[in-house]
Amino acid sequence: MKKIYTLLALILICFAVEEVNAAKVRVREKRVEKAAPADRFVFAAKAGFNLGGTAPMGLPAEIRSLNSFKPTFSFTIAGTAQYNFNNKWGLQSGVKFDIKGMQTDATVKNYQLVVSMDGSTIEGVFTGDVTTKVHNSYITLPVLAVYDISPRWDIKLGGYVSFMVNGEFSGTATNGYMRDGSPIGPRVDGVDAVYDFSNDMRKVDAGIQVGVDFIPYKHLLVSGDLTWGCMPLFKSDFTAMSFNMYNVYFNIGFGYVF
Amino acid sequence: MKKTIVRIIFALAMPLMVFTSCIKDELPNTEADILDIILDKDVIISKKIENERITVFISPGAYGDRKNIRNISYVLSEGATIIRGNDSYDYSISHEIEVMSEDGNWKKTHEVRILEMAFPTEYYFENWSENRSSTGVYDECFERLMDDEGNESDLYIWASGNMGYRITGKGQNPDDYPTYKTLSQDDANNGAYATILETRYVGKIGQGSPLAAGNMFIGEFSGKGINIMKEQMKATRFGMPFNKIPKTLKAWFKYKSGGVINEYNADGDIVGTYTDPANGSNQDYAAIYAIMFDNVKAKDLYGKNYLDGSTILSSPAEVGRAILTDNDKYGTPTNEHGYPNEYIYKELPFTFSKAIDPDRLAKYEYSIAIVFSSSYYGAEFKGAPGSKLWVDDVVLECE
Repeated sequence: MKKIYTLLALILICFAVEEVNAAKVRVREKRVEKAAPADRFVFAAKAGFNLGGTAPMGLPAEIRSLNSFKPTFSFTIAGTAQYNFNNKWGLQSGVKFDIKGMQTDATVKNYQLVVSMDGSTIEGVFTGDVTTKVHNSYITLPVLAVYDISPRWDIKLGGYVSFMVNGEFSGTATNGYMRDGSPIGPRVDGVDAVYDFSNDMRKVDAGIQVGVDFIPYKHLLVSGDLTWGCMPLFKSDFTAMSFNMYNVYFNIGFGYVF
Repeated sequence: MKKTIVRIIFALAMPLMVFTSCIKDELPNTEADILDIILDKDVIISKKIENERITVFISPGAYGDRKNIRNISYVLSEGATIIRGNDSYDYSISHEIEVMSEDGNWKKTHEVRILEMAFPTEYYFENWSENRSSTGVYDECFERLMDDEGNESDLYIWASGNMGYRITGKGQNPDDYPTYKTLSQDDANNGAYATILETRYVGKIGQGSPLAAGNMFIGEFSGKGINIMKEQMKATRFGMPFNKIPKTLKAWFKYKSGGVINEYNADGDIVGTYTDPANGSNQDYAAIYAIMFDNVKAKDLYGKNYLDGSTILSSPAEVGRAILTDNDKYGTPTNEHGYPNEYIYKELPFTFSKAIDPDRLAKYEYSIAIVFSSSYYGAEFKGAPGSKLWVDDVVLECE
């Protein structure tokens, strides 16, 4: 599913690349060649969506197969401001309301988990099916260096800081068995349990961001940005899972340039 | 330029592919279980395989003094190996077998006991061990037999639902559980300890098992192959092979009923009061009984040589029973604080519905189950939280 979305995005962008040759509007010239400081600022409002995963870096061996992956509807809205130093370099920042979410269904073996049942817990290693639902909303502040590679294309490189507004990280453990405490603990068969680690997530995420802005028409902006979280999703004292997870999402945005 | 841009886009999108594309090779197994034990002769009367304890009852005399039992096959977790205990063959005493998992990171010591079938018939509830898990500690009762040479062997013939209750995470200390030993000697009838069975409210956490009656019985409580939260009735495996004809079940007990028998829905809400079809009463009461049954017939009927929570009192395999029926089951005398302070003594005679074949009896084709519970309908999750039964000094008198 995700591959299809990614492919669609690529097709869209490639199609846009073709458009470059035909178009004549030189937005950049307009905004840079005038020397007045006020015109060095470019403002845009964008709406878009995130595709990606909140996932470990490389699948741990405990995950034996990914049975399904569904990017959930994760919209973003953002306002950006860009200051152009000259006709090549600029600095972009803004405020973005960001939802990062997905749903997965995986078959796992010896997957360390704390299963919550109404506030009570069993901790151990689980073998069976694990579903995970992530739905986190953030207020994100990106800071990006912008380089103009052609009249319609900018590439961007920088970082971001996100503050969690609301977070959900939950799921189920079914069709399997749990070893209480460790792989040599008592075996509990027929596990049908839920877990919820929503409160164990960090309230802040920060990472790197790389992307492109494409301006096909005077006021239209299409952007593609990869945001790669560098902070583990969970707090450092969180031990209910044996590996760290990170937010890695690709954002497709459509904007209006003022 | 166009190519460059396409390349950049691809480079950015590539990391996303990481998530779906690389399933790693399966790691070596981490489990270190003894799953089964097989002897070279067909002499096993019963075996109980637990996480760290294996008890096998064999026909008396089958291996002489049991000091040289060879040709034992252990069925282990996939890839696991025995790293200690396999070079000694003396099973006249408890034998430790250490198993290491395939990945080498986990080792577990199992106590293996191969015992000649010698089933005790007097139970004083004086021997208790603690079973520890990640969420709490609970009590487990065992019997200690001494042979002519003074060797002690511990028989874990008693089982309780504590293991199931552990999963709810509600039990921290032994006396939070439904089955535990008395906390003070004054509360026992004789000796240091008696057993206490107390009905506990579990609620929604029980996932369909909103109530946990205190129970203790001859047999095994096992979650193997079932969903222990949803099929608790199947987890209670009642009975062990027995070669005597029981006459009377004698017991000392005291009891306090928790009130009316509540019926719950899966969320743990009370949805009504249960009326006992036998006498129209809705007061919770204690269960004290022994059932003798034909274990070959049980195997024909259920595929298992034991009875479970849904069949223990209603099986065609039953041949006889002794059961507490008089009004003392609703409660015994209390002191001015409403606390039952006095044990009372009961002799419950066996009545037989079918004749016992002496030849089959000698071959252990009958089993005995002695059962105590603080709520008679507890197996169906009906009862009154707080119902509490103390049992001590039980004797199964045989012919």
